[in-house]
Amino acid sequence: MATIITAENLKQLASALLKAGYRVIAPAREAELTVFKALKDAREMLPESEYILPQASFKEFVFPRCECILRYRFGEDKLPVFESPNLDGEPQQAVIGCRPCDAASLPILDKVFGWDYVDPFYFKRREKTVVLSIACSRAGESCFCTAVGYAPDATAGSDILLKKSAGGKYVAEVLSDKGRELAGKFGSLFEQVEAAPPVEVAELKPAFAVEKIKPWLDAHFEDPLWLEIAARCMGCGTCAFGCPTCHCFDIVDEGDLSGGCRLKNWDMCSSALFTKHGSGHNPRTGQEQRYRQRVSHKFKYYLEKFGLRACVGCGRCSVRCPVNLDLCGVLKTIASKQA
Amino acid sequence: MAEVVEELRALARDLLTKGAVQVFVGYGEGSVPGRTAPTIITTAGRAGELVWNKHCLNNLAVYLTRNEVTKRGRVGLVVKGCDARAVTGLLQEGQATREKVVIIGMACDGMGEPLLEMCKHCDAHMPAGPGADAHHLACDYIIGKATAPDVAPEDGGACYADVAKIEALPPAERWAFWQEQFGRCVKCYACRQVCPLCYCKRCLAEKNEPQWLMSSAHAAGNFAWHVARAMHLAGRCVGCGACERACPQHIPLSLLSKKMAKAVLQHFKYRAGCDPAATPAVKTFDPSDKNDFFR
Amino acid sequence: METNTQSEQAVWQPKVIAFVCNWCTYAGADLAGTSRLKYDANIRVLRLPCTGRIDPLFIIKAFERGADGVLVSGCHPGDCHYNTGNYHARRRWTLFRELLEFVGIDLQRVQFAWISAAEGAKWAEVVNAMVAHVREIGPFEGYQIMLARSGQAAFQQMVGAKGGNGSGKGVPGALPVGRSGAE
Repeated sequence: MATIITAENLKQLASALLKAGYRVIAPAREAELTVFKALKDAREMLPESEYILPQASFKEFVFPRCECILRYRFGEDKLPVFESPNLDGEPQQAVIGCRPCDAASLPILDKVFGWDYVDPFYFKRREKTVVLSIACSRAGESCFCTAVGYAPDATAGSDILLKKSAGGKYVAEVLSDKGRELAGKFGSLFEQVEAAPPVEVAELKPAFAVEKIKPWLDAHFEDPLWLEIAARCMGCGTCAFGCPTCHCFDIVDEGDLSGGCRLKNWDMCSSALFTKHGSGHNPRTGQEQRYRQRVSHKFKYYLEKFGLRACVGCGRCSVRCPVNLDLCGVLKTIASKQA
Repeated sequence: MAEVVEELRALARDLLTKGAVQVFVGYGEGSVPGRTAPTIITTAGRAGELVWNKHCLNNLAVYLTRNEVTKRGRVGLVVKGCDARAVTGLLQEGQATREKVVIIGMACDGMGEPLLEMCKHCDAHMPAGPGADAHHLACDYIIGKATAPDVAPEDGGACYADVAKIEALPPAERWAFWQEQFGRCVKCYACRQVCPLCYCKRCLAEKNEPQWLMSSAHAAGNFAWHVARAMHLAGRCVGCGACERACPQHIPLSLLSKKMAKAVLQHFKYRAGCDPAATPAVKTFDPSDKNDFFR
Repeated sequence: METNTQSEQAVWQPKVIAFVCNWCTYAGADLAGTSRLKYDANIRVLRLPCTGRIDPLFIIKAFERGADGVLVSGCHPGDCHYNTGNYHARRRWTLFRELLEFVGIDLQRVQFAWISAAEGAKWAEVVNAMVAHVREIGPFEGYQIMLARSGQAAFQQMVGAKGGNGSGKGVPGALPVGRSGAE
């Protein structure tokens, strides 16, 4: 027995979800870019064949680029009144058409946002998010998911995984309770067939041996390779902001004596002032130190702390980087240096 | 192209071996076809990594403002005619010393496949070589010969055609256009970081006592940032296009920089980065500057 | 003039910020006062040493804080207390105006004047004309809408929900918009 959904019904599903009051997040076009957008109309959703990966991840729907976490105003008695935004009023969200790499970022983000402080802003949105991914039938030039433990048809983070089959159909694998609930609610759009038809899943040889990365990082904190690699880095946030697993944020206050808010904004560890302390001291004044931190965070510290690497191999960082600093290439180099 | 590449590699090898430069900044192969990556080498043995092709888009002059590069010693820098203007700007503003840079000017027939729009209006296919007069930045070496003809700076106004389109819109539509464009900004600051003239070690956007600009990536914060940056670069931006190419959100930043360049040219007869001996327009004044908009 | 009567709270009052230089325009404004010349009280004066000190970002800041118009005024060219400050300012404003216009701001909301210490009458005239004009063209709603879409409304704006209305009212704790009457 297998569950099938046609490409046309997938669009119908997006439409039905919109009608049911969901925020439907899907790849769409905007200013010549393919982006994850909160659809206004299901027709905006791009057919799967027209994209491999949108230019950024969908993390901003669980971790907004600029999110209000507190607001204040002054009441009649001149005392401040604080309010937290009501996230319970946020609609259900459905991500449709993301790739397994993007879906896999959610279990990774869950770790840090649920670590020493359970971040309600993240989890309230996360709980309301159901993910329907589409496995890759072709790999992008910069993809390296298989090197970091994922695959074009990996299931991590997906509630339903679709695999492309002949004749504009997808074989649907329901992977979680949320997925079951969704497939049940919109059961008329899915059909059951006797046998699963053959599916097209891309093949991608692992670009490097990931088990070699951490041992090298453990022993080469001061290696001159860091300056060699990072001299080119401009210290912008293009990689971090497109990355599905990057999660650093900055808290800023905006407002004055009549009112205002506290915001949680995306931040980037590549920035020169990222680690500037209140004292004035900055432990990472060189780009090589910041780049070392970036790679070590993803491939050593996160692994040590949470048992997962903070990278899904989507390759966006390399594609988006204005100076084409290629993380996969860096990791290949590191792996080659490690016996 | 092949001879040009060989000549470039031989020159890099030579400069590094002789110790004429301690670090050489050029282009190398990118991670995918159709891209190159800024390549920074410190040993002659790596000269073979250097390439020269239609995808050498980056403005490498920005590396003269990066300590990670300049701390190595004298820099050998590969520049196209457009990039050389940024070097001029840096020299004028005291951010680089001429003796600390060995400038390798590359003859360029235009970048991009298809040809970049800005390259269609280029008047600097051949950078000036050694022996150029004081009003031109004299590169220490010139490699290659450009065949594409230089186009006069204003190209009969075609260069500013896209600016004129925005200027022609009614104000409400102009406002709506920019609200939409700036709405996509995520404050990654790629535009600032790749810009050779945005060299402030601590950008105004990063100050919070007082807070000049809202740093958040929302409508008002984005508006303030782009207006502030356009104003800070007015009369200094050389129009290399690096900012627009770097922007992951495809915000048409060159519209802003070209608008300001047009205003500077129109009002002060000045074009940034062309003449190392000139005083930048925004650094000086003329008592007879017009003030017809003052009551 | 601002009072707390109900009827006056209901009528929109333009907010015009004036950045003026200490030596000429501020003195000129003072002269207007001592001469008992009447000028519109919707002008809020900020004193700086010189127009050369006025950063274009002050104007942006003024709009962010709810200004409907901004006036910049200083010494006549040649009369600057610091010799050349206003010459530099003049160049900057020439460019800044082009930029503001390019991004869609109505230049009638940003005006410039040379008012000397002896020109009390001119001060009153310029202020009255400007405030009257801003009263006519109305509040700077575009900027207020942009602010209402910022801050706490940023996420809603990104997902395309209708965030914030024109006046910024109904968005508790929003940045002040200068017309809520709650000042």
